[in-house]
Parts: sequence; C-alpha cells; structure tokens
Amino acid sequence: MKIGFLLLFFSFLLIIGCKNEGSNQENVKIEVITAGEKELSELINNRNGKYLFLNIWATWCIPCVEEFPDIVKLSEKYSEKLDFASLSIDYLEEKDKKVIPFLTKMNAKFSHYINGFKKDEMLINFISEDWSGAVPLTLIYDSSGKQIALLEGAHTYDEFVEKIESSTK
Amino acid sequence: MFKKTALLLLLMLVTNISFANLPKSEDVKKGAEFTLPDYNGKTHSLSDYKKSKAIVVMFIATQCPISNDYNTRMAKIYQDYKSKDIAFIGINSNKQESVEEIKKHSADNNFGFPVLKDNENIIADKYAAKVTPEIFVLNGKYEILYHGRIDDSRKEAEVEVNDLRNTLDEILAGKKVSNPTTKAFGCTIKRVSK
Repeated sequence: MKIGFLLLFFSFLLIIGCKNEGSNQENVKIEVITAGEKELSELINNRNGKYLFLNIWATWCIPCVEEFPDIVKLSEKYSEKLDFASLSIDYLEEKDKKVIPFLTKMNAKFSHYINGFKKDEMLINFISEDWSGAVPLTLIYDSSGKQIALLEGAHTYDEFVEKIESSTK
Repeated sequence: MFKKTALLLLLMLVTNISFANLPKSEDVKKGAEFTLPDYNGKTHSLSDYKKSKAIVVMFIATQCPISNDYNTRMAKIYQDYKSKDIAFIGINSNKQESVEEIKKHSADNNFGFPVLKDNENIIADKYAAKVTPEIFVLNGKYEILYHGRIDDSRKEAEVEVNDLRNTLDEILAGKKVSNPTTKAFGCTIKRVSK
C-alpha cells in the first residue's frame, strides 16, 4: 500500500515536471516579421556594432530543418558577438501553420522573418548575385552591414563555428 | 556507444551538402554527354536527342514540394512541345529517391518524358545543378541556350513570365534566347558525399 502511494506520488511529480518543461517551451513567443526590401535593409544595416548571421530556410527544405538546431546552439554561443536572424521562404500563408510552430519547437530565441518580396527572384537578387536560389543559405554581415560570407547548402556546427571565427576576427 | 558515435559521424558526413566542390554555374557553358538508365532500365544518351531543335534537361525530384508544384506544368509543356521536335529529359539526382519511386511518380503525374536516374549525382555535378527543379536547354552542339527556372512563380495562378516556354518559342522561331539565365528557389539536390 505504502509503495503504491509512493509510486503514485512520484508519478504525480513527474507529470507536473513534464508539464512545467512543456509550458516553458510554450512561453517562447515567436514573432515572424514579413520582410520586403525595407525590412531586410534595416536588419542588415542597423548593426549596433555587431555582426549578423542570417539563415535563409524553409519548412519544406530537409537540409534546412536538419541544420536549424545547430543554428539555435550557435545563437546561444555567439550571442555577444553576432545577432542571429532567420528568413523563411515559405509561403506567407504558411506562417502560422508551419513556420511559427517549427521555430517554437526549435526554441529559437532570435529574430525571424518571412519572405514578403512579390517575386522570389527579387529576394534572390536583393541578397546576392552569387546566390543560385538553393536553400539553406547562410550569410554573415559585418558591423557595417557588408556581406562577408555566403554559404550555400547545409553546413555542420563545426563548419559554422570555423566560418564565424574566421569571419569575425 | 562507439557504434552510435560512428553512425552519427557517418550521418553528418552523408548529410553535409555543400556546393564548394561544384564548378560555378557561369563556368558551365556546355552540357555534358551522359548515358543514364530510365526507371525501366532502358539507357538514354544525350546524343540520342542531338538532332532535335532543342533538348530540355530538367533536374527534378519526387519528394521536393517545389519540384512537385511544377509536375502539371512540366507534363503540359512536354505535351505542347514534343511534336515540335523539342526533346525532354528528366534527371533525378537525389540520393534518397529510388528508381521505383521515380517510376511511380512519373506515372502518377503523366510525365510522358523519360526520367533518368543519376546515381551518385555525377551528371548533376557536371552541370553544376544545385536544386530541383532546374532547367537546362541545349542545342545539338550541347551549348546551353537557357539555364534556370520553368517560370517566375511556384504558384501557377501567379505566373507572369513563362521563361521555359518563351525560350522554346524563341528557339523554334529561330531567334536568339532573350533571357538565357534566371533564378528561382528550389530544394537542394541531395548529393552523396565524395
């Protein structure tokens, strides 16, 4: 009887613990700003002395989704040196259904944008002539807003660290 | 534990998709010859089609939502131009998409044109193809007359410029292709590590 009671008590504690952990995750309120040229220019140029790490991704892009947890880790490691931002190229109407739930699940506590350019090619040309349109794409800007790195395709955590370290010396 | 770590390391290597080893797109001026099997095992060579007025080489996928957004449009373009002596070849270079999957996908979408399996993405590497869908239009000398997207919107209802159709119409009219390079979003081709 005593053992049964203890088991019940610990199960109760476990459930409460899990609930609290879950609610902490839910408390991260993710906002996603629709970004056209004006919003992206502001993000890139208003640097306040920090570098910018910008990752362009989509929920339908498997390598993007696979590398995202590493980007979240990097955002914690380099929070003093770099601002982190993500730009989703999902359809605008998928913001609430797909983009925000994914970013919430990732617990990605940095700035988030979604492509608001009228045509995809306009965003590609705005970002760089060297970009083929393949995602994921990661860019690093210096504190004056100058693009100093363009990484097309998925990268590992260590590759990102190496690129950040070499770009921000 | 060792097994798990080794597996993880292997997975990291295999899933690392970087384009660092590819030639630059602008440096690829000519289409490379290839001989690849279709989903029935029949081989197709680029040279089989060199007498056509143009050869449309399309890097496509079965699982990529962007490529799949274009399935109906690709089938329609093929139907509209096949009788005009334009050849169409689909190439699947994604390592995770099997021949059986390609066969079913082609049948489900009534493609009509052959879809070839590019094992180990050898041909994608030669063309420096990065995404799906990605189009190359070649002449009989394999010169690249057009490289880029099918049209300017993933959403068919919002298309304003039909780049591939415009290219083919210009070729058929004996004109110079007016917009030989375009860009669009696409799913990265999943490559094997080399």
